[in-house]
Amino acid sequence: MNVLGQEVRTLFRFEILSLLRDRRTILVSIVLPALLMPFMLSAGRWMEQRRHAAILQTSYLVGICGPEAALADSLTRQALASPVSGDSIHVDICAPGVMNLSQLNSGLIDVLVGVFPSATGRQRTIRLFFLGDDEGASAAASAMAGRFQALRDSTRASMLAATGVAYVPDQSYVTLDDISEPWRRQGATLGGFAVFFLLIFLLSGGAVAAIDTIAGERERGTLETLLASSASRAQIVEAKFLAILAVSAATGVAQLTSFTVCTYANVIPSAGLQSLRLTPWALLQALLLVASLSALVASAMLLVSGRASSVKDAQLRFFPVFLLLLLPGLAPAFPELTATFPFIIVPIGGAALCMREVLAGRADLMSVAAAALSDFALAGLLLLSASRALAAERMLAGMESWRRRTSPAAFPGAVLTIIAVMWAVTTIFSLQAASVDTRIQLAVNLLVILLAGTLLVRKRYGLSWSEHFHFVVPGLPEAVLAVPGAVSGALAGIGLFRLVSLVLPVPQAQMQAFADALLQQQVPRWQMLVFLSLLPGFCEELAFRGMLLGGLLRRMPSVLAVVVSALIFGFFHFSWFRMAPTAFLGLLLGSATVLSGSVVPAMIWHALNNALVIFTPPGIDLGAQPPWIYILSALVCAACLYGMRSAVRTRGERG
Amino acid sequence: MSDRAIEITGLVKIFEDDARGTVRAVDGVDLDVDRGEIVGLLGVNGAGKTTTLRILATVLEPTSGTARILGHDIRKEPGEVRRLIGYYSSTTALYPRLTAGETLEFFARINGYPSSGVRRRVEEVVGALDMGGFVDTRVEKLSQGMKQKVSIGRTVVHDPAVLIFDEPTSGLDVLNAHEMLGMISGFRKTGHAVIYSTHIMAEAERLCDRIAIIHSGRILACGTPPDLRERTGAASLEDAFVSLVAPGREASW
Repeated sequence: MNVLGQEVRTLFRFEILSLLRDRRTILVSIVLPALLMPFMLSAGRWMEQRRHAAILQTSYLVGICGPEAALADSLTRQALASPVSGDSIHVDICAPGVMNLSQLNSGLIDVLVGVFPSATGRQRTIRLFFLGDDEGASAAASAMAGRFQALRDSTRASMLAATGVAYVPDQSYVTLDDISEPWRRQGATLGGFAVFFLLIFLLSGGAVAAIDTIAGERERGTLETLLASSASRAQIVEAKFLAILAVSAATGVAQLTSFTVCTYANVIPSAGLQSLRLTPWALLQALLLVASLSALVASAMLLVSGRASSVKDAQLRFFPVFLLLLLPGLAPAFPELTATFPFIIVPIGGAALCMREVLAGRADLMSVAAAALSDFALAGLLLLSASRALAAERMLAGMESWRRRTSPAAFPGAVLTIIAVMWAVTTIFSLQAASVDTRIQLAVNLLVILLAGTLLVRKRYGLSWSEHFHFVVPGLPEAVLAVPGAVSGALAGIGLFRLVSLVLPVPQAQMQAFADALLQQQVPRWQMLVFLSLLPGFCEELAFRGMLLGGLLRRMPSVLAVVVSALIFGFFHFSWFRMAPTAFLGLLLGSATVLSGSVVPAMIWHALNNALVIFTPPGIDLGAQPPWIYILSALVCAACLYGMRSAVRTRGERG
Repeated sequence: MSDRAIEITGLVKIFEDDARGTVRAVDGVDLDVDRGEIVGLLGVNGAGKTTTLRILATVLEPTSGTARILGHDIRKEPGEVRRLIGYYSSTTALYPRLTAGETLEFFARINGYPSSGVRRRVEEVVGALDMGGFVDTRVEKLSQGMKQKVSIGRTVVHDPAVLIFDEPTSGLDVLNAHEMLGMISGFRKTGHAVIYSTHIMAEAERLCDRIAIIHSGRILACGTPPDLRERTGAASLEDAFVSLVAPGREASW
């Protein structure tokens, strides 16, 4: 604790003191869950035992049906007379007489037995009718089936013995030999759901504390008092985070202790904890995963509480966050997900997969570290966000009416979220529509998601075409320079792609599949021009250089805004081998927009860039030129950008 | 050393609001407060008093302009500023599950009062505000008057030179309000600089050395109560206030 400053230590101490004095918090977040879980498990086991006992104590009735009732009756009586070992269900045959399904349906009998000719007509089949929604009847039918099988075996043995052939009962010639150590099997099983339960413990424990810690303070009016103290926002967030972490950890420990004690006391069914074998090294890895998960859960809850305007608001927000956090904890249930890249870097999901490996004694340190790191990294981001939310002006007491969610001033703060939503929609659509015609895919992506999305954002935030989107008529030199810029830029991009390919070789099959999907032979040229050149030039530029870059320029320096927008542009092109060249193109287009003050040159540039790649004659391989061509192209491209800047400056000086 | 404790220069705060569009809650406020002086911000609800004081307390950030507290800029050195101020608002509250004594200790410590002297300082404040009878009682069990003393105590426990009071008598009954004004008045003698907001004329006239009349985010006039009366030719501070804020609507009775 000495690494923490006096403010954080004081805040933490008094936060915990305040929480501990709230009996409701202690009861709801620590005591109740610790008692409830073993109670629920033991109650479940007790009910299961009672149900089983009730089935055994009941006497079930069998009726006879079908065309050969006499034979069915005889066989049933024989089967009932020779129960098989392990079968303790009591079954009686009802009074003689042929019965039917209506009597089964009305509950007069539990199982109906009939002998029917088989499909070939050479043998007979004994059919058992029962109602599957009646647990007792199902058990009785199952027991009867076993007895008929045993009767058939013994009858066959007698018949064969009479002919002098020794009957050997069915044997298995295929055997399964599991050579894994039992503790590893048990570890893998436990590890499959360990993180899921840990998340439930952490969430149930931390939620009450989290709600009280910021949303409660905001509602009580103590938050403003705290914000006016010497403690910085970061220190307040740090202390509150530690407090939630402490309560979550206390709940987790209480739950685990209760679970372990109840297991050893045989109050609840053994989950195999006794057979686990954890080396000190594995224990350290497990603790690292637990710590990272705890940090992530605590920071997520802190953020939810920080964004809520009241306790009730926080409670409403917690439910979807609970689901969101629990869902990746189920990752081990999906057999195709393994503790390897890229799954391990998925927050929570990666840790869940790694926990299974750790408990099964086959963990890979790098994977565990990567999973923990991704959780810690996300926790850090959430804490930063919580720190901002803590002092959000609209959240301060008496200021709820100051909403600025949809004004032009709010747009820069929301632009990254908007583009993230567009990315998510595009990704989901691409995954779902993989088999759909490429033209339809492109039309939906460009016209519906990017263009309509951008227009919607413009309307919602009341943005101006010229001021926010840079959608203005450019000067003639800038528009003209976009032409050589596009040609030289495309060649420079191809050169870069070749360079990247040296480090990260692109699988040939992947390249071919991509090219086939895009450049379908049967698509008319004019359609290729529309879908691959003109539409991307207009729609993507309006979305990425107009809306995205326009928003970013209002919250960060120009160079950074261009770089960030280019990286995001790259991420929209899902194949990783396309990301670098696309991001490079994004850099050039972003620079052209910033330097010319208009998005139109970037539109011309983008459309020409794509057209060049599509319409290059088959005999010319743009990717197989000598290196000097690419270097020269890069220089020409830079000159075009410089020319745009000079043209704007010259006009500015004259004007 | 200069006596100037608070210097507010061209302070502007703009809120963006869906319903009302752009609102200039504070629109170019200039104001100074000296040590040992109590300056009142007098204005109707929504005049910009609370926003101005929240900016001074570094709870809100100004859109433009700035203020200096004992030479420290609120934008550049918010941490240092918070150490030098005591902020009391009618909308701020106390931690219900801490005792009166723990509340004072908590605020002394997070406001950077030296650890070794915290207990002695808490005892001093408890003595000065006559809180001995309930120092170990949880805040949630205290009466309104007792809570008020704890609130004043937590505002001054770290010994700040500048005190900011935002409508401190709001919601108090006559006796508690009277006692509160008495305590605030006492800070003049101890050399504190006090900025104080209210919409109650009598309170402002009785307590403040100078009054700044604020309306629609702007300071319309600033001076001693007699100055303001003389400047507007009004018989009372209330008339002076109305003639400045709503010219033509002065009382004809």
